[in-house]
Amino acid sequence: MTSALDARGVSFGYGDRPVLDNVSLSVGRGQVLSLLGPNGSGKSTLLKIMLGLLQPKSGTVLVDRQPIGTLTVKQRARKMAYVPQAHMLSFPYHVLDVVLLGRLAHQSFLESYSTDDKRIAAEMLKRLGIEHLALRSYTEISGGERQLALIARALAQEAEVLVMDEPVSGLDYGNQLRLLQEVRRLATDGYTVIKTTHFPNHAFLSSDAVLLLHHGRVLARGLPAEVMTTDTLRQLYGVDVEIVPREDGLLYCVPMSSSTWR
Amino acid sequence: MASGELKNVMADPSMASRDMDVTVRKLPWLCGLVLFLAGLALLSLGVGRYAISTAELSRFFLSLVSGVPLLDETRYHELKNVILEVRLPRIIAAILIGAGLSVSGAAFQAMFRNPLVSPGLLGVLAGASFGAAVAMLMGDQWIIVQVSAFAGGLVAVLLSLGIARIYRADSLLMLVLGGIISTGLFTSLLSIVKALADPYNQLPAIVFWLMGRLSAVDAATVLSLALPMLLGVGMLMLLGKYLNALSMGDEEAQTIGVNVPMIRTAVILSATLVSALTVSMAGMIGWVGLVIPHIARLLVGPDNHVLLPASALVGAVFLLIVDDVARTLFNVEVPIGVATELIGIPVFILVLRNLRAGWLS
Repeated sequence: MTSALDARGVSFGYGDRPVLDNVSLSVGRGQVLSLLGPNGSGKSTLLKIMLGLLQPKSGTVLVDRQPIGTLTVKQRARKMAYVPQAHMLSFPYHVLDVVLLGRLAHQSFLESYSTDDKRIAAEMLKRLGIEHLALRSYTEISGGERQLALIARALAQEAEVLVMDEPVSGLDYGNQLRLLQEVRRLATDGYTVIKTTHFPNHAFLSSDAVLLLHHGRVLARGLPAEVMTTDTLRQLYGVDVEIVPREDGLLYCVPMSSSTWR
Repeated sequence: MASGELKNVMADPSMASRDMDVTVRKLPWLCGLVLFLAGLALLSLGVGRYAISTAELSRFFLSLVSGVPLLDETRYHELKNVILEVRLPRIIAAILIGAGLSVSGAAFQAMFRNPLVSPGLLGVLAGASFGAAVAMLMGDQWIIVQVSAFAGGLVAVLLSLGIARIYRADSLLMLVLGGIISTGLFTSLLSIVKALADPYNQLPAIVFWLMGRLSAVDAATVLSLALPMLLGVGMLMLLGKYLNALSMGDEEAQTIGVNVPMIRTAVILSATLVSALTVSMAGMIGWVGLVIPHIARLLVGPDNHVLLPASALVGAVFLLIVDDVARTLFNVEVPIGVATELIGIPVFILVLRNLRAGWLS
């Protein structure tokens, strides 16, 4: 299996405060990697470094086996797309206009959107089932729909690696599960997905690999079932949980039965 | 677009190109605005204390173009003086200034992700006013006042950029703070200049300059400043699609392949060039850069690709109308900067009511 994205010995700090200490990871093509860790464990910083938004103090990030430092912003955008948390914008752009921005990385400086660009944007909306929103204002649609629109923009970028920052945050329960299914589907279609999450269950459901980040260090990484155990989750979050297998083999994580819940 | 049409587009993505092309959809608006502006400019030639009828106007232009005398000699020269020496430069200046301030405002609003931002945010207007006032203190040579105004505007913006740079932050917030500091500094420096000015001659001159006036614009000024202004406005218009990206936030813009520092510098420099030149031409003209982008957004939507040209046209129309009103309504000409404020404020209140943008909710 070839790796789509590697981080090798990445360290980072703000001033004297270390945020990441010698973090390495590798994601194979078509795989979903979930990053788990408590607040302040360095997940977001790691994402930013992988996207090239922050320079690591030491270590390198390779996308498609090329160090990202050697790529221009545009070349990077063609290999790697970022899906931020669904946000609000100050201006009511059409959803289609937002998705079209994904095509910028494929244009020269003064070119305007070609027929192909518009076709690709429309296709990506359709693929995510939100084509009916094309000419609605981004500011008027729901949080779940905005998240899908941002994924459509990332797909329009035609990058192989998708980096998602807590893609389910702020979505209702149904939309969370639908979004995780969408992530699975993208991996099946050959996309490589790296996402942060706060939910072990979501990692069990949707990922091929998990990386646990604790105080900026890798606590464990590997298959979800091997990595997320009662022990590691206690270390990570300071709570007692139980990992229970369902009949079909899917694991899920529930709080330890205790009198404090009654 | 009607919902039925939209269904067709989605059923057949190849249709997308034609029907969903924002530029094409909004083209009628842009064309309409161009025609309206052209008509208004022609009409404005006849408007003023010295009224000229449309019939006489057309006869004058016919004789000017063909060389065949259709008017009597003295009348022809009289008209030539009024129209070509006085009114035409003034109308062109109004168009350039209205367009320049509006485009700069629209670009800044997108870049700073804030619809309440105006072109003066980084201190260009305060700096230019100070520059002009200092020059008036030194003497009353028109050209020096203009150059000094322009230089003052540039220095003020460079100061804001420098302050933001000290903290190594490429963040917008530091830039805004730099702008506040720079504006404050140059506003107080302006007060010092006012205090030092001779209260009988210089002070009134400075005060009137700060109210903005198109009456002082001559053909030479327009000829020398038009090209750089058009360059700045054109540059901003070309950056439309990148402004859309910047309004998503800097980090996102970078991940979709935009060289954020480069584009931001280009936007700031172009907008500064244009805004400083408007002050060089006609002093301080407020509210245009804040209000007009909102009106344009109501007409054509927020996509900067279309919004910037639309803002330019609406701004030009607006300032031309305000100037026509200012020079005909009363016996004494109302300073244009005061007139834009008086008219801009109620317009802004009306526009605010109709805004459907997310930031109001």
